[in-house]
Amino acid sequence: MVCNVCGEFKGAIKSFVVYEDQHTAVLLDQNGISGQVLIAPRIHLPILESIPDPLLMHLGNLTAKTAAVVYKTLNTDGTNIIINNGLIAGQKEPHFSISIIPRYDNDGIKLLWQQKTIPDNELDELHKKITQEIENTTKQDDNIEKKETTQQQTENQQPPTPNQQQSQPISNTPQQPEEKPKEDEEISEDNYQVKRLTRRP
Amino acid sequence: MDEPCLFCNIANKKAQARIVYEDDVCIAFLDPKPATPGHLILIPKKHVLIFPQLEKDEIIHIFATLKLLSNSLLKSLKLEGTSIFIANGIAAEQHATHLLIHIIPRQENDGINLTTNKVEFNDQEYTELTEKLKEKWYAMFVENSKEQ
Repeated sequence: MVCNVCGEFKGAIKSFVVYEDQHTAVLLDQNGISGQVLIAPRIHLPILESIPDPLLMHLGNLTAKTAAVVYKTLNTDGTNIIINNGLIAGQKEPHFSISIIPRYDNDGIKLLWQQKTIPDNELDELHKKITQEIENTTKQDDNIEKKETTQQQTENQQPPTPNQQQSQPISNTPQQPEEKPKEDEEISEDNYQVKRLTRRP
Repeated sequence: MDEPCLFCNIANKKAQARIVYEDDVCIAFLDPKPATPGHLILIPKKHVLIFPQLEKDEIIHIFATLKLLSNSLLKSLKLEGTSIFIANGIAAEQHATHLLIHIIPRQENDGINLTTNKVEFNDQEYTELTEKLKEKWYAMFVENSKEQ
């Protein structure tokens, strides 16, 4: 699938650049309304889940700045910040971007949704499922961080004496072989997500 | 006394909500009247009205949390997409006086539209608009950072 955002960055498609730096740019959205802009990484990354954390933080900062610039320049009455993550979610290009939409009183645009009523027991079930997944993910992240620190420590350390080795907590050597396949699993899972989210509806 | 804010009350645990995630900066809970099942609302604990009022470190923190929440929804509900929606101002369809960030699970043909329709403009109009935005960007952020 051709990516028009990459096309704009490579100069194959005419682009209108409001701000740019080494990793990101703010462009006029030529698929939107007047004054609508998008914030995108230069590198082709399809979805939110594929954005590395440092880049995501930079994009976050740009989002707040861009919303303020749009608001002040165009004298809007408000702005919407929208991320459509996945082609079925309305993502128009297979390239992650954040949209800033200028809004005016009575502009006729309707972006809200219909509120649904869901039985309490279903909400409770969703609550349990989602909380569990978030807990698992945060635990995994913690483990990865811990592992990185332990690895760094081991690199810096002199080879341990037998005595030290005994006093090492269990978290060090024996668990490592067990954790390896988990990492591979995670990578393939992410790829799977990218595939699912960039599937044409 | 200030008007009590429902969302500050949720953050302070004075009002009930189905909380799925919480830390020092923000709290996320299930929207009781969702667009789709699993619809989450993420709020900063601090009372702010709109997104640009957040401090830089809060914005960074909230974006990292958004990635965590979206990813967790994708996995736990086996979704093919999520939408993240922020309204700054009543004109942008904001109904609360506290900044709300919606994370909405998406399915094919779910009847939700969070995109705008393309409006045609010519190159000259686009160029003029870009220049105006660039100028303001420079005035607001580049000149300021030089002074600091």
